[in-house]
Amino acid sequence: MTVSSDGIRAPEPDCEAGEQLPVAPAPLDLAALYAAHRLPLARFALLLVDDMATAEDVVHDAFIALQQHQSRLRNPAAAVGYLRTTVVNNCRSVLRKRQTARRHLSLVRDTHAEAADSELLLAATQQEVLTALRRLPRRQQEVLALRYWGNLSEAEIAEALGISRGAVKSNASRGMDKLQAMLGASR
Amino acid sequence: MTHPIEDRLREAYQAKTAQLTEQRLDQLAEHRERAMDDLLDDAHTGDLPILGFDEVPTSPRLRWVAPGLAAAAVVALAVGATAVVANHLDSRLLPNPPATRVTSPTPSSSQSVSPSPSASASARASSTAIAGPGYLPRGQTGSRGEVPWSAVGSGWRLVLPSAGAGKAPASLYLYDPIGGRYLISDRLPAGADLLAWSPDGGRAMLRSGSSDAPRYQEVSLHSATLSDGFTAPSSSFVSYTRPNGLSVLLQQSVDGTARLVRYDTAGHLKLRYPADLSGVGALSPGSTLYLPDGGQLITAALKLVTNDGHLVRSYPLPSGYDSCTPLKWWTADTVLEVCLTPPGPGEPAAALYLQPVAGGTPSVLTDAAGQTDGGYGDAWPLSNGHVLLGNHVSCGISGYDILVPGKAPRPLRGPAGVGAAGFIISMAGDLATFAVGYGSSCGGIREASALVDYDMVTGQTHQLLDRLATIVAWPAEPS
Repeated sequence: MTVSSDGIRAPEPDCEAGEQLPVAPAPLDLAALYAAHRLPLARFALLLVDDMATAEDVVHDAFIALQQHQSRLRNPAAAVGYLRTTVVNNCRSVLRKRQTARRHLSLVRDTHAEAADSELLLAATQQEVLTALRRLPRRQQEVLALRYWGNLSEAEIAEALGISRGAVKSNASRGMDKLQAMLGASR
Repeated sequence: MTHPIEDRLREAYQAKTAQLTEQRLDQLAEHRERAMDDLLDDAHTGDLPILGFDEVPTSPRLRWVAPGLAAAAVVALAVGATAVVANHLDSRLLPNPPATRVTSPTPSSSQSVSPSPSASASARASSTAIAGPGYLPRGQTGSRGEVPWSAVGSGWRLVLPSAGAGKAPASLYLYDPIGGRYLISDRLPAGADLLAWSPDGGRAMLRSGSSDAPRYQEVSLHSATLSDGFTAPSSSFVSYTRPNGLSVLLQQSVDGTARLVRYDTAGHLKLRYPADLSGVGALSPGSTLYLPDGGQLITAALKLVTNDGHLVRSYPLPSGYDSCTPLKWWTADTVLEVCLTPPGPGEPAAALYLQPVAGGTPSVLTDAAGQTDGGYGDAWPLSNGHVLLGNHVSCGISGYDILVPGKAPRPLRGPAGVGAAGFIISMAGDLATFAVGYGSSCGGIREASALVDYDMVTGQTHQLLDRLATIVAWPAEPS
């Protein structure tokens, strides 16, 4: 795994070393991948960035990255995992830039307002849960979204986020406990 | 073992993500591509070098420069500009989303006249008028159950015929593009006005009651069910919210000041927009325009405002004009606005300008200089690239001209039998509905004998109704 200077884990499509060795590129049906995974990935991104346009954008970027690196993809079955990791990285990047921008330009925050219809489509209790989620550390948000929305296994989450299975377990547990504390133990 | 709040969490995730559909993704992708096209337009190429920011050598001397560049980069990145451009470079290599891409021209600020608007929407309306799935023959009336809902879209209209002075229940019809109609309900409140068609296409907003305390009610076009609605004192309807139309914007008098306010359709007041962002004077439907995703709106004050009431940007007034008000989307990225000259010895003169939503100088469509009769106050794009211009001449008489690119406007040769007293009450694509009046004098048409549909491109004319009506066209997204 490589880590860039800003701490973002660089996506490694085949999760194997020795990329410089000549490898016959595996056939990858990008169109089929796009059709099957664009919406689920965008929905996952929406949970992380809370903004549909940005979610669409980061997923588009992820597919572009996959397209550019597909020759390095040894195992086509790893493509979805690669996309998922890239989406997480892109979302982190967006959030980091948004955070930086807020420090420099107060108006920027306001341009990310959601539509009035969005809040009305959610019940008050759902809104409450989502608001509480946003107060969790970013890593915990990612783990919970992959676990309880994506229904991924601990191993898959560990691979997507580049952390150990133990870290997945502890982040999930802490995240849920904090959520429960925020939402009220009686519920 | 499951955690006590696991179900709540899953439910919240499901509700949140269900808002993002394939259709919405296609819209967002289309919007992003247009933004990319705009960014790569000649007028914007000056901004592109910022893409090379990462390549700026960071020698000790240059490090002093870097923070300034970084701040600029932050702003650019915050609006997604660089990502957008980067995407554009590769997007054509990706599989296309299933939606048909609409390629509308994006007039640059350097263009003085851009009479080539979103002809695509008009073209769609026009083409659907030729043939369509399940359309009724012109003049035939079907039931609500016969409506081919999957075909309802551009070119369709809601029509509420005038019920006269009686207390008979009002009727609402859905007209297909070739003139067949479906009765939605004949039991609507007597005297109800038709205000708007919800962006999701499934409901219509009605107003009844007194002007002091108007009552807003929705009728479902699928079931004809009438909602309980709500009363909002001293208010007038401005717009449905987007993308679904689950709330409405009203203009309401608050402590003697006209304010833009938002209610949900159940009547709960959700937000009063700041007075300086709301706009001044009488707001009317169309004077506030939502961006397709519903996150931002352009108010009558010519300001881009977030849905939660924060200013994003103010648009400049063209030189020589006192005020401007948005009228309609011209392209996906450009808004048509009407501007007035300052009060003087004579009547203010109107001009039409095209304002890019992203900001910058508006380009002129019709200038007030040299115009007689106060200038043009509205315009409609036609599928053949021409533009229909409208102005109010005097005494309720409206004048219409056709603007052909590169030429001076020429008078519209209107439908036969309509006469000078006729005026357009609705445009749906190329189809103009004229109210045919007689006994006209100052004060407008006294009586209307008929409504006539006139296709501006093909010249075909058909009688729509034998009396006045309110007509609302399909709520198309800007394209």
